[in-house]
Amino acid sequence: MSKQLIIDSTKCTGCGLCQMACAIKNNRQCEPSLARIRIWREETRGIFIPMVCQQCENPPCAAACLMNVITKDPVTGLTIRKIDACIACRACQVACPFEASHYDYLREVVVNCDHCEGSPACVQYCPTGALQYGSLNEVLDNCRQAEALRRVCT
Amino acid sequence: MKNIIIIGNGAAGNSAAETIRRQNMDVPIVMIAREELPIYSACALPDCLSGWVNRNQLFIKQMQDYKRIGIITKFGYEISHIDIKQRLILIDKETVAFDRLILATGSRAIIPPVPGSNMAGNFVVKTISDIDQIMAYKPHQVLVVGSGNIGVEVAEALHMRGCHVTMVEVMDHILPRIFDKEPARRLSQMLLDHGITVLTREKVIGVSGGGRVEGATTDQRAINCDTIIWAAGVRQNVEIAQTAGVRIGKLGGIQVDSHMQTNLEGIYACGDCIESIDMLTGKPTLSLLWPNAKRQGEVAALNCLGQEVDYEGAVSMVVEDICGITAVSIGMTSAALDPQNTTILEGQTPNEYWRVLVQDDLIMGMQTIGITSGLGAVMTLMKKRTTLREFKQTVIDNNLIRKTAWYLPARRFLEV
Repeated sequence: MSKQLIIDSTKCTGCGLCQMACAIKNNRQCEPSLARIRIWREETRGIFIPMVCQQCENPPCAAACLMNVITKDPVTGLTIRKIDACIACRACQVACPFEASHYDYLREVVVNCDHCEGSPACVQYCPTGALQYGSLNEVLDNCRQAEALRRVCT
Repeated sequence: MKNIIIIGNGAAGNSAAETIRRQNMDVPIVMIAREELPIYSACALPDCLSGWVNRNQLFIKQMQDYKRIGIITKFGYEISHIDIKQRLILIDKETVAFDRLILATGSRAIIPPVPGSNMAGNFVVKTISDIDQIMAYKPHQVLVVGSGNIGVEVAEALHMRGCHVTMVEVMDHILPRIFDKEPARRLSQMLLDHGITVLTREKVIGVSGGGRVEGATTDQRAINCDTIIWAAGVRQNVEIAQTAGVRIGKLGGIQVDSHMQTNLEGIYACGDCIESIDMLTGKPTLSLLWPNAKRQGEVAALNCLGQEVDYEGAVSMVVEDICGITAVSIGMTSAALDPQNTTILEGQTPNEYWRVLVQDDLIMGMQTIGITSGLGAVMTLMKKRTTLREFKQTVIDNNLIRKTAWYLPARRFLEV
């Protein structure tokens, strides 16, 4: 798989812009409960972890699906759904360890992150860089450069 | 390899066929099945009965999809004999030679030998034609016998269609093999509040009527009804395999090894018709669930092609929609576990209920009502056989938890 959504939870402040951006882009609703990315919050410990589809190689959601709706795209490697055939039985939601299958109550189907066709809205709006999109090497390289810059400047 | 024959056009058979095609585009695949229909989701049949899913939506493939991936279909055929020595299958008047054989013959719903159960108005829910027949019969007063997941789903579906529904269960509580007594009591109350009569510890002993069903008698009362749906269990379709010399296990399914191979070389079996090993207990089990059938089909196909893949074992996951509330059961129930050794972690909020069964510090099962979040994490911990001790050490560590962040949603169920 070429590009991935890479999460650095240490940078997440739990602002929730990613959820809002996702819901607006995918559902045209200003409602975080429709987002395909969710932040797991443990406020007292200062832990905020964005949880989103990890595009597993052998997705448990696909194994659980009663309608064989979920498949791996052979080209992009994404976990995709033939959404018209979904009967919202919720089996995928129960099977996913990453809490990444979400019930879309407007369309009455279950959805997961599809990287917004290559330009994820959550990444665009993330103010801290906790969410990045690119190949793993690219993102690591950016991190290295940023760290180098920080050390030189201080 | 000359060719592979798959008997059965269900979840296991199709998963096997697709897996073979993903690995090998050339080997001829012949699929033989009784029904003259492309694969459909048997799990969604009650949803079709309720009207939530329309009939066309049940089909997972169309006929041309088989052709597209080069599967020769022989649908609508009854197999009369399998000749193991000559490697031939006799269907009607035709013979087909095979090199490797995958049996995915599935199971059939049974109607217990109760007097009157052969009258018009007695149905089962297993195939699409059962659904068609029930719809054509136009039921009004329905008696559902058995309260497994099909029983409960059908009862609710027909209730939604406007039927007056009564459900009879011979055991102590409804969903006896899926839920423990307490969650089952809550679910049963939900059905009652909804308007479905639930009778437990009652056995149907007779069906009355003159040609058509007019009523049924249990060991406690007489019930008026025009339709009876038997959801009293299934039996494995093993007869053809058995006569061919395939070994059958104690539970009544085809015995297979971890490669899904039967006692005969080159003959594999998968899906409802086999006896598999339970992932948690290691004991033989009949797992009659769609996800397990799909995985077994995959394993059978890979081994059939000569790649050695072991089956991890079956694990049960049942998701029920009862009156709009999601009820989930994963793993074992208390009844299947040693009660002396089992700890129950239970909890509730006004809209939720959960219980986790723990044995030797390992999660063995979980049952919930009204919860969909956090279950995937519990199930993964159960399958990975992570001890609760390890789990707790990880979740309290601020650094470790960032690496295994998926543990977090499970925390509320596993800490007391």
